[in-house]
Amino acid sequence: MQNKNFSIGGVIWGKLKKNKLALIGAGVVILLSILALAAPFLTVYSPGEQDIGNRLLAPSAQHLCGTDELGRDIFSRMLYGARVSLSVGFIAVFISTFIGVALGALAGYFGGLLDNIIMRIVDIMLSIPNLYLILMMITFFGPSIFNVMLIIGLTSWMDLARMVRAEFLSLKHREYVLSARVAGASNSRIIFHHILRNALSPVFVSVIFGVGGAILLESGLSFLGLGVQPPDSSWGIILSSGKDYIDKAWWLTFFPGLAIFITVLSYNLLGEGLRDAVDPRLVE
Amino acid sequence: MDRLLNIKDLSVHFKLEEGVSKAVDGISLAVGKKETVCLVGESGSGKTLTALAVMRLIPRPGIIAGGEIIFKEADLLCLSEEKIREVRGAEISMVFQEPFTCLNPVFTVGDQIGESVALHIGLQGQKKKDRVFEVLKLVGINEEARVYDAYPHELSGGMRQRVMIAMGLVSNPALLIADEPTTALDVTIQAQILELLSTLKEKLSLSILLITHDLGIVNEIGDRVYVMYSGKIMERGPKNDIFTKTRHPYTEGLLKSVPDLGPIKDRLYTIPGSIPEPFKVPKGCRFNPRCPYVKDICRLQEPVETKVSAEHFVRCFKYE
Repeated sequence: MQNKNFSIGGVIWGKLKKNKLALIGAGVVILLSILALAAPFLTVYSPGEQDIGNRLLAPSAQHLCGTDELGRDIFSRMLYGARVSLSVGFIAVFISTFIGVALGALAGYFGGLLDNIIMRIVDIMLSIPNLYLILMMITFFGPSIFNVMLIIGLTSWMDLARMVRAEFLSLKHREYVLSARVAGASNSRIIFHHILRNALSPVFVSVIFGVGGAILLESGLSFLGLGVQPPDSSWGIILSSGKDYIDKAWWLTFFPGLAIFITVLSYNLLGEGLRDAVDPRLVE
Repeated sequence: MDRLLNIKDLSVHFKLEEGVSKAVDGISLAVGKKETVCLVGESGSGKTLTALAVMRLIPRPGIIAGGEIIFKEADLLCLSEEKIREVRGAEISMVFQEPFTCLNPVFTVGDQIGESVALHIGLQGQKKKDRVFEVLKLVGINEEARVYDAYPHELSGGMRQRVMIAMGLVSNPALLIADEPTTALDVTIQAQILELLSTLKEKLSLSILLITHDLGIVNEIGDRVYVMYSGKIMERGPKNDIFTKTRHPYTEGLLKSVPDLGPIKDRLYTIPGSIPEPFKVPKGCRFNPRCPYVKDICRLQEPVETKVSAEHFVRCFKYE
């Protein structure tokens, strides 16, 4: 009679696998991660290797995505750039999730003055235009991969904090919380074990959406010259340096643009699929 | 008699916009070793709050306004938050009414029962698992390996209540507070759970504080009875005295409203009216608007506790 797959994860997976778009999204996300990790094995040219004799070559069998104005292989630069873009995405989201979950949980669980202080900080952060805030902080700290991760993380936790707070407000009155307390569990154990586990599905969905958003933001910042700095490559940088040759060498902007587009789209498709799968009200 | 728990003059107040609600208004209650004490009363009479006060878990904006709760010579109300956490689950456990909502849906039964021993006794790994298996067997679950790995939604109501009791007993507490443990279950399962509680009491030398509104349950497993109404104890005494030498009109009403088996003679008796809002407690005896024997004095003065026999006390002007 016991069905091992009847755990929460099993139910979500069961719904997710019926959603073809989400599965495609998941497939692409996994494929991209593998490509980025395996970059040294998949590329012939090193990403920084210049070959002025072969500059601005159109895509061919030797150079799958062509070469840029310094003769660097775009395919190599894109795979290595994927490492940067994806890791910026993940680490920024890790930072914002950590802050958002911790502050949201504390605000929702303890309420009162603490809640008031945290939520007013959220209000203030949300009332400053995000790009302006990021540009200001980058000007202050200086552009680098590390700063970009940190700053994207520090400026994108507010929605998650609100959501986690709302979850905690309702979950903290559940009777199993009282029964955990009766068993002698401490506040921190109740927050981070008993309640958080019940609030994880929306957090997970927001992480997936967040990665797509952070990749897009990083590309934008790098394009403006405020993100990752050359000679490191990221999709935004390739795009940015290619824009000067857009009339002569379309591949310089086309391929990184396509990569950003596909990546963000895949994360969003996966995120939407997950959101539908964890929402009990959306039963087909 | 050896007293394990001794509540003296306990008050729980809620400060609301409408005024101060005295939800528990100076009650005294004792539970002896290996004794089953029943706290009886309608919904809203303050029974659950009394139990939560013992655990120091009165929900906000409620406060414990006065009194003492002596457990094994220590006043629980004076303990630090850390010390009281060591009492919860280890020395005093509580089982709630709704086994459906009291188990966390995302953890297995084994995890949840094991938590208390991990917190209090520090058992981990195989030892923890062994102890959980042992206590599952103790509460009459024979397929302990299956139940250990099951999620709460995979179990029936009776099973879940057994699991809740197992959770309560896993760290070997001296006192088990059972708050309407059978109300959400159907009658046959009710009988099994009551049977289980009496066996456990003998086997583990457990004291039980049973909160209920069902006098049938009291009759089955109670040793002594406290009848609570609107935050005060109206009558207390050994079970047999309460059932056969009933003194208080409220107890009388409760007893009359228990359905009998057999042919139906009349409509079932109900006590007229309903329990007063806790911030609009009537002047004088708080039961006076619903009392069939009401006298003038009942509307003016609050009755004090009078002795009926050695252990039997009542709070009513009929006997003053």
